Amino acid sequence: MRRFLLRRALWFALTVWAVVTISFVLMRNVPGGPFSAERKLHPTVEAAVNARYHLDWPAWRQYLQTLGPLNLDEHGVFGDRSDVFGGILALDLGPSLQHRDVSVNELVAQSLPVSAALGAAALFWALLLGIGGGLVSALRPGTALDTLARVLSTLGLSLPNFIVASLLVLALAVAVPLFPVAGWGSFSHLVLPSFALGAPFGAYVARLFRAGLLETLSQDYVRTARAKGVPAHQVVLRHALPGALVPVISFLGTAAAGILTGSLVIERIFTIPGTGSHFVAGALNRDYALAMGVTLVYTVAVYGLNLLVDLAYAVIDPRVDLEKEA
Amino acid sequence: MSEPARKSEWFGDATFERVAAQLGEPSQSGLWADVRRRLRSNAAARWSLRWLFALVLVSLLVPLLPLPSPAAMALDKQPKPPVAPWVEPYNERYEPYYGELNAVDTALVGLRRKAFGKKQTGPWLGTDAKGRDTLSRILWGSRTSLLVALFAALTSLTVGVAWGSVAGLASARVDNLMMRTVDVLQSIPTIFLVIFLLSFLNAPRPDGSPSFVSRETVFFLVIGAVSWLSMARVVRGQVLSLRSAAFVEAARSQGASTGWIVRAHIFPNVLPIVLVYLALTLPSVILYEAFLSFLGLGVESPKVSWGVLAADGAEAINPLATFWWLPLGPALAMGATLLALGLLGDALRDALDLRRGER
Amino acid sequence: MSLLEVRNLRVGFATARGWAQAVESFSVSVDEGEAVAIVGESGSGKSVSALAIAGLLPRPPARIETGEVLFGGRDLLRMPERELRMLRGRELGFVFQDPSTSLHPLMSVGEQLEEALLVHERLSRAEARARALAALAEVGIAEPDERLAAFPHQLSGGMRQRVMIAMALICRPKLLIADEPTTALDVTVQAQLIELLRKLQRERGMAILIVTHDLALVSGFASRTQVMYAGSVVESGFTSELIAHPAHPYTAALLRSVPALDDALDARFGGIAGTPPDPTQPLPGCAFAPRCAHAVAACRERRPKLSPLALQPSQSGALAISSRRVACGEATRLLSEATSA
Repeated sequence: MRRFLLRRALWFALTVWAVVTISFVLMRNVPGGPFSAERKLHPTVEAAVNARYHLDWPAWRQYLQTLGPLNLDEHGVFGDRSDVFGGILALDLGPSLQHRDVSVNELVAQSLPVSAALGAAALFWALLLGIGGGLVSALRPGTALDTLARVLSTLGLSLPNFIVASLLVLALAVAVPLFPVAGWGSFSHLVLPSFALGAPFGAYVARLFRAGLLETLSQDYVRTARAKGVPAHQVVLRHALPGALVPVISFLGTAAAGILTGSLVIERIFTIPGTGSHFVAGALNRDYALAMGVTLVYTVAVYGLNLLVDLAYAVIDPRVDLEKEA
Repeated sequence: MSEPARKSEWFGDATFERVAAQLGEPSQSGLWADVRRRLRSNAAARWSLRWLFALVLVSLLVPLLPLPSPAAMALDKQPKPPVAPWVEPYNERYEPYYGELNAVDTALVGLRRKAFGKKQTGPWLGTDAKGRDTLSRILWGSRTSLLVALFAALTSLTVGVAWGSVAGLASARVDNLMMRTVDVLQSIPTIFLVIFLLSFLNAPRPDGSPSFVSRETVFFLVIGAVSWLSMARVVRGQVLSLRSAAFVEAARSQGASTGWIVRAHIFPNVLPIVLVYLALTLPSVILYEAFLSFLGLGVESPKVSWGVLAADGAEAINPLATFWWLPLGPALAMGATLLALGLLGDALRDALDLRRGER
Repeated sequence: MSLLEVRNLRVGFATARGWAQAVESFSVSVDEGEAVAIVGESGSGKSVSALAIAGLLPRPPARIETGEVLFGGRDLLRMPERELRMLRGRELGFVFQDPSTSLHPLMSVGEQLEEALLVHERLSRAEARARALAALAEVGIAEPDERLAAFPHQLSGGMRQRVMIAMALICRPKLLIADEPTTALDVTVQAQLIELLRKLQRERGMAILIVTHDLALVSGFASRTQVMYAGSVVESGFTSELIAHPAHPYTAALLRSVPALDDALDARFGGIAGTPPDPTQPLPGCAFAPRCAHAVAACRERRPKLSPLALQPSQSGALAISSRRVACGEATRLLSEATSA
């Protein structure tokens, strides 16, 4: 167990380093720097801006400042701080280049709960639709209900989330005004975006779960359970379900990453003030610090979720040996 | 007791015959004939193929069709709703403005002008806020999606298959190194890096000069770079399991060379899974393109893609005025194409009998 | 009255290639405390018959067309599923062929043992645990308290099958149906397990219906044996007599196909030419006729019925054959030829 976690941590560190370094190299090589593009700045202003964001430092020093954990800036970034620590290793994502006097940490802290709520609700939809649909399909294979569930799942798989979102808004917010078209703040604001975000994954979960359940239901050990006189519902719940959940759980890591990605678009459509919209705005406005910060946050989130998935895997299936897997 | 001996000779003959029959049956041509037959008997696969074929044909020939130009604007204040083809079959307001076109398309557009002159189809699917014809934009937009799909297919067929087979056939250490590279690339949420990358390369130059690589080139490179990863992983897994399969061991024990084993055993058995994965990669790449275009990081105006159209459509939704045709058109086109690819992939998987539990 | 009485069971499967008649006609009776063996090659319908007895066949695709299964006087085929379920595990125990797939891979041995108890008897968890422990000890598993917490993949094949047996017997059933209980195991383990089953049967006075393809394995164990071929019982009788003087050509061929220790080193042991008939294409005559060295024209026209072997009084005295039933028109002739030779 400890070796598994250690190995994971090592890979995690390597990935974070790769993200930071790639981003940094790209940032350094943007022609003209982030501020000088559109309009020519006055030389003194440009010098002040460059000094403020350390753009006048040599590359290695900027890199170390970005990476941390020591703050190489003797004045502190905003002049009023003189922190000893700074940079990514000190969990400091630096100042935003576009939002004046706001650090990336503050922006992330503001927006992450919003995105987390959206993501959790989307995951809920994915599991609800997936497990429900898969269960109905697998317990009554070949019936009209099964066919319906499978057609819906195929449709869900082939429609991208932004199209699902557009159609949902058209139907349930414009034609029949049940939900708000966009915005954030109440529960009804959450329903449409989280559904649009989660439904395609629900379609995939339904497929996985149906196949998994049909597979486990035909296993010898299910026959053994019936031979023991276990009641039908218990045969499904206790004997067939856990095995069928294994592929679903291993898909959750991928799904979580996909939901994070999808949130970029969904937050934009519904004008939700989440981390994803900050990221897109940051990327479009060349706020590299913000974009890199969010990328790092999402990398951490995906890693963390994958770790949880692997641990859940080991809990469900005693045959999984994490030491060997890692 | 002479009887048992006689019987066992019988037994030998029968076994030999049975084995011979089995050996003769599932030859390679037999397998593919079987696959073709199973695909043909699948109605969903047939319709999917027809749709995809029609789409490819139309997107190749779209400059020839008497459509309005996708870039020609009419400064209306509002998007115009669809007009049924029988109400306004055509009008004569054709505006030959396309932005930049390559030589072939310029020639095709020239032909179109000779053939149809100022005639163009009516706004059968309506127009957008800038007065551009929706139908024409959807059809022109399909070219981007298909081009991206083609490019990704080529990348995963060349880079992905090569990377995977080399990793599968190479020594454990090389294999480990190659697959760890894929691991790291896959565990970075690539879309973020991609967006990051594109936004850098989109940055305007201080001297106004065009960058040394065009944004579209980068866009394609990026899509190529992410599309081969799962293919490499799948091919490597299949090659590894084939390497230790009983029939390969048998061939090796009879002194077959590595080249022969790869040609006769590994290649034919990797091919089905490569095909199936290709069918899975295409929709995801089309989605990827749409996703990036949706965020404004894809093709640049006056070029269009389905993602651009979907984004325009999503923006046009508001509770005050319903421009429903703007989101609906691209949604249907894209949904149908992705559905066709998905159904085809499923049918292929069924025909090749590659999924055991899934029915 | 016998404990289990199966009459004229007929079972088929809907397959992609059409209706497959897996069991043409199956009858068997098992008295209390008696061990009966059903022997046949794979595809003979023996396992399907055994599963059909307790309603364990997947339906669809399987369908039980006719027949009755009387267990303690009640017809299991016409019993509501709820009542049948209460019989399974409590009065009818099952042991399946492959313990590595028949035990739940994600549940501990203890959980699986206790489940049957908790379903059928009002027991506290502690009582169930104690019973599970005792059951493991009874089937000869060392350190049973450690094994309770183990998962199937941590046990050896023989140990897993012992767990299966313990699980089948934990509610003290009157009848144990064992479907090829030793086929998936090593030869040395096979003998141990048969010995264990015999011991448990004697100690508990339990009836066993054992399904196997290995006649030699059950020779010292089952008092009576039925031989099945292509979905029908072709011969039945007392095991020792059946082995000494097989009357049906198929039984004889089956016996010849087993090499004996005292065979000469260069002796070839006899297989059976040809393959069993396709269950989707039933033959008009005897199903074994195409493979039978002794078949005559009549064999291919009319299907012989399972009927008592008609022997001359002198013969039956000499051969010591009692209550034998054979489905072969030529059986009497062949038997007298074989014994006179």
